Amino acid sequence: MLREKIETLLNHRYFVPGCIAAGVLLRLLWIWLVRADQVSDFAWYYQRAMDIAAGRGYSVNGIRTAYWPAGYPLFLGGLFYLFGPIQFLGKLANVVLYSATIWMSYVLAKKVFHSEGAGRIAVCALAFYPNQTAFASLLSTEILFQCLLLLGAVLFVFAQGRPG
Amino acid sequence: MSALSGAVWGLATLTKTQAVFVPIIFLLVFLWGKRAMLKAGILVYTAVLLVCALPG
Repeated sequence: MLREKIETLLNHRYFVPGCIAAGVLLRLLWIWLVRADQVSDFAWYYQRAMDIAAGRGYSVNGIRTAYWPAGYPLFLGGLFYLFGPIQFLGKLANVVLYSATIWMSYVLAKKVFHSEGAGRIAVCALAFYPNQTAFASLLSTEILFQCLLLLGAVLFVFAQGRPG
Repeated sequence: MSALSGAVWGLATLTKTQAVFVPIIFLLVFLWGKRAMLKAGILVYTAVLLVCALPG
């Protein structure tokens, strides 16, 4: 009985978009309601992004640095340059990146395991995993990294069997 | 497409350095022929290197 209900829910045509929408809504609520101060690494990335947006480059106290990889501060700095140095903007970008990550996990799991069910379980797990939700309020490199990692994997897996 | 995935993994490497090892894992898992692996490996890692060199 319960198994049938789960199967019906899992095979519903709106299960994947529903999970993605619920995941996005959950993260939006989280970043709206939970005040997370940017400390340690997150504060460092935030400060470097503001420096980049202000035209000071990737530097600490005016001295160019390569202490940590520049990818996330560059991404955040670009956003700040375009829309202003608003911390909430970085959190919103996290939600957008998460929604792309959840969708790509579905595509990748479905392709790699040759199973629609595997993709749907992956979507459900990522959409509602508490750690993934709580991280949305932090300006951390992991979210962009996760999104790029999956995008590269999807492109690579789909490239197999095609020239170039 | 392989070069494009390399470019995206290059961006991932700019975000977290350890991502430089990701392509080799995918090459070993998905490509079993030596020639195909070498060809795709050169394509992917050239793209990774080019993207990583961009900010400099």
